[in-house]
Amino acid sequence: MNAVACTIQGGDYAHGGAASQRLKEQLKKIGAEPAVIRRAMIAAYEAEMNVVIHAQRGEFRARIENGQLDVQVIDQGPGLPDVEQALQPGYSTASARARELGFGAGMGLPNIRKATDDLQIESTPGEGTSLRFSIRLRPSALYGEGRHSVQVFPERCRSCFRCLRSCPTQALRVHQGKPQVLDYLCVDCGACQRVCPTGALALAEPHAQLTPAPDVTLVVPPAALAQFGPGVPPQRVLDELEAMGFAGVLVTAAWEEALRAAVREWAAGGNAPLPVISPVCPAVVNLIETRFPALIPHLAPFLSPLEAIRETTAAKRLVFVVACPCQRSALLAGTLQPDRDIIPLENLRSAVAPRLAEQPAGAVRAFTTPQEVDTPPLPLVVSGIHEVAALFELIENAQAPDISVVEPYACHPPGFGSPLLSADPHLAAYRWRAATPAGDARATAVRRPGDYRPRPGLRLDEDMARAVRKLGRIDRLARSLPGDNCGLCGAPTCAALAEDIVLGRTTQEACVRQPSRPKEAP
Amino acid sequence: MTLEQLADSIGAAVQTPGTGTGIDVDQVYAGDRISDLLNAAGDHALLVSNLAGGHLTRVAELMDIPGICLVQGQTPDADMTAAARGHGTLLMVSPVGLFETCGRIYRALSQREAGQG
Amino acid sequence: MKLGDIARELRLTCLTPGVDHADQEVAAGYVSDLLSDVLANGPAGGVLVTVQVHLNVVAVVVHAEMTAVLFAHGRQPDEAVRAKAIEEGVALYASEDSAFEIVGRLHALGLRGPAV
Repeated sequence: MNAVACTIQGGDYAHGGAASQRLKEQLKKIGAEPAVIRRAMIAAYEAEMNVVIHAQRGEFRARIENGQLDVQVIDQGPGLPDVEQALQPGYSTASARARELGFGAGMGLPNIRKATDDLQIESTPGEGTSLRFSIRLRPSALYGEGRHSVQVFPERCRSCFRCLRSCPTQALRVHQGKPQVLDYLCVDCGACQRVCPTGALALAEPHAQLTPAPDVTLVVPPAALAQFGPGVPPQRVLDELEAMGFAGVLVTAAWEEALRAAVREWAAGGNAPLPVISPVCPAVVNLIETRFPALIPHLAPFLSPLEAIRETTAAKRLVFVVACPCQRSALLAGTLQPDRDIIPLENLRSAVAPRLAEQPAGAVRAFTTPQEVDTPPLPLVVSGIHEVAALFELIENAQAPDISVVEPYACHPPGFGSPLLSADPHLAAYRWRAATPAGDARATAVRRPGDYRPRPGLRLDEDMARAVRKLGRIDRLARSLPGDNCGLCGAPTCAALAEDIVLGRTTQEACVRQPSRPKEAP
Repeated sequence: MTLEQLADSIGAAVQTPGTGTGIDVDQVYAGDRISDLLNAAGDHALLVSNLAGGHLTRVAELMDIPGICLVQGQTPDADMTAAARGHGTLLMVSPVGLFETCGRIYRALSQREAGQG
Repeated sequence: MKLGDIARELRLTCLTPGVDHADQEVAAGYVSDLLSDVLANGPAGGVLVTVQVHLNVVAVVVHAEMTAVLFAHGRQPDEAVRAKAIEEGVALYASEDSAFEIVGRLHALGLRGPAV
């Protein structure tokens, strides 16, 4: 996405900084972190003012793509005869006027280099200079990558602690009656939302309403079409959606089929260690990157079906109905906006249900053949995040040598177990299989552009010495706790509580079971 | 001590009020080189400078710095005042020079600290 | 107050061996990074607090008849600047503290800016 493109006039001190200002607005709109915005502003402003101070004119271009900011500033001016010299702090050729205004300290290029992840400078003396720098936008320093779609509504929490046990990566804490999701551990599987009785953990806001428009193509998962009860087959819902005035309606099932075929081919091609693991479910991919990094080579290098649709469909505007939280996160990695392009299942249901009311319930239909189109070898379908984790442990221990392809889903039944589905998941799955609409010839699998990467995990402190001291304190504290992981303190295990205390998420008083505890040394 | 209280304490005239309720000052940067001001940024900072031009407000805007103090009674021009008002930056003008102004700010903040605890 | 007392109170490091003007009374203080401003307004017999480590700092301080330069924020001038300062009889000192902190403490010790 091109965030900013503007011209800078040499000598125009009055407007100096305008391009940087526009870039700041864009970065705030996409929710970049304040620390990242600060670095971007230092680099952008120095680069922009360099043009004003030294050149005749310049072009400022900023792009935001794949979680990275790329800025290019190209000028027509005297150029730099010696780039290395220009990178030395204190070196400046600025005019007296520039210095009087506070510029020309000779810190511009060194400051840009310090503030950015990468800086390239090319210059032709007598013609001009081209500067390119980049800054990664995703936060990765202390906590590792982690974008998820769980939002906490603390006022609804009753401290029942069901969520603590449901999480496959121990990413949840409940301290002082407030649930907390540890970003670096959460894999976005939705298990906590499924077990939470009060909605204290729910799909992150904002979401969009179902709003038909002639330039919008709607993308729907099977669960969206099978949630209306016995008399409403999926095709009926599809017809209704098409009648509502969208440019088109795509059903993701065809892309799931395409992915299944591509994964089968990939496994057969001998490219990867067996069993090959299908990336059909983004939460499972997150689980592997977080808890089972040794299985990364087993993952087939394709995008999930929704991401594939996003990348290949040449529609003017795509709006997605998401079956579950991890699909929302996977889609937001691009330029989609959650308040416009992401529709939860419930919003589709409430928009379409009134239009279906007139139809009498259809006769009970028995179906005999499941819509299986796979030819052997069949993939091993595993659903439910804990079941998936258990299978992955077996694979890691080389105890599944007869399996060539695994198709894992975080929810059960696959594709229908999301906490966002109000209908019963098994009935919805059955109704889908009983009356599956025809496929879509446009569906295709899409290779992933980047690699799967293990999550770096928690760094206790940016300073190595302090991190080591914290590790020692966590260790000593953990050994002084009862050690039976009762969960009453709001952390899933005693080791987790020790970490919470040292990192300040809670206090020593949280453990209610200790008869006598040593006071934590400061 | 908030920016408003500080202005009052050092005899500086507030030109534009800044956003919302008072921001507590926890950092003061005195200097005249834009590159240094960029790096000194913080969201509870006060910039004090011999400079009196629009770049101070631009820097404050880009780096989310809540307060700027001009010295020697230099009044900001209309553009600078409008820019500060538009972005909610508190702009104050001290009647004395930078050395004296810093001395007064330092005294005011030290007295505040001595008064606490 | 004498420059030597100031150097001791503020724990300054002298960068110009042999030229420390420790016994000299300091008339006033000035803080600025704009050389044109120091040239025009620097008080004679005073000390300049700055981060400007550019070679011209010495020339400007000499012209304004100031006694010494205190470099703040841990900034230090290079060999050429120090040599020039020694040659011109200007004392250079360095501090890790910020300019604001240094000026604040100088002011607390009783030093004032130039007479208006």
